[in-house]
Amino acid sequence: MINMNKLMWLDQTLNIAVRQQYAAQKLVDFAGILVSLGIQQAVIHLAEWQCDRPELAEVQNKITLYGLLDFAGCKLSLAEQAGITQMILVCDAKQVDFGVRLKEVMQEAGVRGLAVTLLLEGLEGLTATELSGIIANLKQYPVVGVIYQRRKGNLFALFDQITLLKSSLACPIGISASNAYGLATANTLAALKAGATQVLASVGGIDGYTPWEEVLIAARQFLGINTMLPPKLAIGCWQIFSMLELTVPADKAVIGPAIFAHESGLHVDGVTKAPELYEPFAPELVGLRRQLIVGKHSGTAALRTKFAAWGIKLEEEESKNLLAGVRALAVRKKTALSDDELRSLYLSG
Amino acid sequence: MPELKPGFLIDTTLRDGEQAAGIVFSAMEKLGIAIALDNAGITWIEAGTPVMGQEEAEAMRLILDAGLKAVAFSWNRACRQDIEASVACGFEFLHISVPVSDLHIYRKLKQSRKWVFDQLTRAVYLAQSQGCCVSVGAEDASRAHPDQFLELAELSERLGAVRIRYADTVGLLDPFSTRKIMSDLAIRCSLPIEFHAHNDFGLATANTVTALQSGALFASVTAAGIGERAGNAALEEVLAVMEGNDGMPKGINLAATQKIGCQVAAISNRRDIFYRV
Repeated sequence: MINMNKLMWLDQTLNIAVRQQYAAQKLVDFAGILVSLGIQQAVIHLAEWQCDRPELAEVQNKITLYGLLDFAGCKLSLAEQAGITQMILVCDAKQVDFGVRLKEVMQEAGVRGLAVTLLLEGLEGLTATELSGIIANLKQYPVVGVIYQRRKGNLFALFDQITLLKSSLACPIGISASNAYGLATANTLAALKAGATQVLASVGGIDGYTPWEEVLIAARQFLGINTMLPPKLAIGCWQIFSMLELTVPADKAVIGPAIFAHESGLHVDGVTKAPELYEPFAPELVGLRRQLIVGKHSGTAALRTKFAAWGIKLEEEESKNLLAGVRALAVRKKTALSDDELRSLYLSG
Repeated sequence: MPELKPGFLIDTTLRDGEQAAGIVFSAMEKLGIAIALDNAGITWIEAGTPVMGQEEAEAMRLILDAGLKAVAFSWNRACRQDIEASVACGFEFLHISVPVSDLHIYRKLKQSRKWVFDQLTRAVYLAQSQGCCVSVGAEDASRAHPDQFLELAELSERLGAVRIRYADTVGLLDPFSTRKIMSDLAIRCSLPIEFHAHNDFGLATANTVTALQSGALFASVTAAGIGERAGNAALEEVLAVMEGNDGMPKGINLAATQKIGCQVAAISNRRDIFYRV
């Protein structure tokens, strides 16, 4: 099994704040939230950083920064200006002059004392022979990591390619999966299963990156990786949304405020008997709480549970009549009922 | 009897989608969504649960009277009152759901497997006696042994059901386990399998596509991925992946399904799939 200590998160969320030109102090606060979630590294896109050039020294006291630059027209001088020594360079491994450019860039990085991780694009669809050719090229240079940039394709083929990278290269292998098709978490899991240990992700999947919290939970569930769960996972993630002035989607997997809200008669009856009937894990695991909602899909069991909590025992016939009223009102209002509405419905009946 | 051939997507926006806590569609909204799905080329629509009451039953009648090309069918528990409510609305295709895992049979129903099978048998006979065609749902199949699923599938086939739903009720599969299970079941199961995913770990779309590539002939989806807890596999997202794999079913309009996703998100006060910037 994969050792949790070897899993490394490379956050893509802090950079959104940099792009939006947040003040240096706000970036420090932002980094503090990431650290409280257990995220120790963040990626800064230097092309975006250079627009506003916020001071990063204090941010670096909280979190380790990696500078990201495109291979093409790679201005490594920006790293020094930002005070960053670890670089992630984005390159298309299929370009004809890849070998030549790699040599030039690695030489310059060596002179500047920068550690280089390569983020390789265009690996999808390559045969094992083609991929081996690229690997042979990489082996000539002291790269400290290789990250696979994933856009689309078959995730079982990704597993095979990562396996080959892992077995051929001594450095850590990473995965950066785009979520354009909703497949980022699945692709990232496949890469981890094949031995990747670095994950580029953003909290909540903001900006179309791999949703960090999904990988955090799914790696435990499906790969047995004992990832560290912060005590207030959901709230920490909500703070990141709030810092970026975004709303958390109600049904966002793992952290959505409504993912442990139960309304349908079958489900409420079930979780009242045994929560695991209709919950994949305990809400407390991610710092959320179970809610029982009364609405159109409710059954009599939910009403009896609700009123019992208020010290009112509903008879069978009484709960059936009340349920008809609840459903009619919910349809009229087009949403669930509040406790007050439920009580006044009972009293008026 | 409805054709089982066309299309492999079964839209359950109006049933499992609306079942998400706090979401309620009006009868006219339900009708509008059903018509839009039909126009987009979706051939199977799980329209609702008639036993839920008068409001739901009226919405169901509107949909059944709309002259859709798609087969609109209802969701039922294996009990008399559910079947009768569906028949009273005019449904000719009924989906009847029973739990298949030990957990759901013993802890939720507090009954035996034999009791579940007897209930199902009676419910299917009742539906058929009213001239209805039936599909069977295996609730919580991912926590049952594959042989328990197959036992239910064999019974369903003997009873004359035309399809069986494999429900990953709390989203506990990943693509690797999905591939292993579906490729095994697809060979051993005599009925066509419909894969039903949930998104608790963010894997619903990946699992659905994997299931379809591993032998499942059908998959259930919802517009904008609305549904219980973290939702279901999103109709428009599954289709976008299928299109990329050249697996786009004939007659389906991807752009139209994306528009339905936006509209459903709006009227259910949910954001559209938010990472699609």
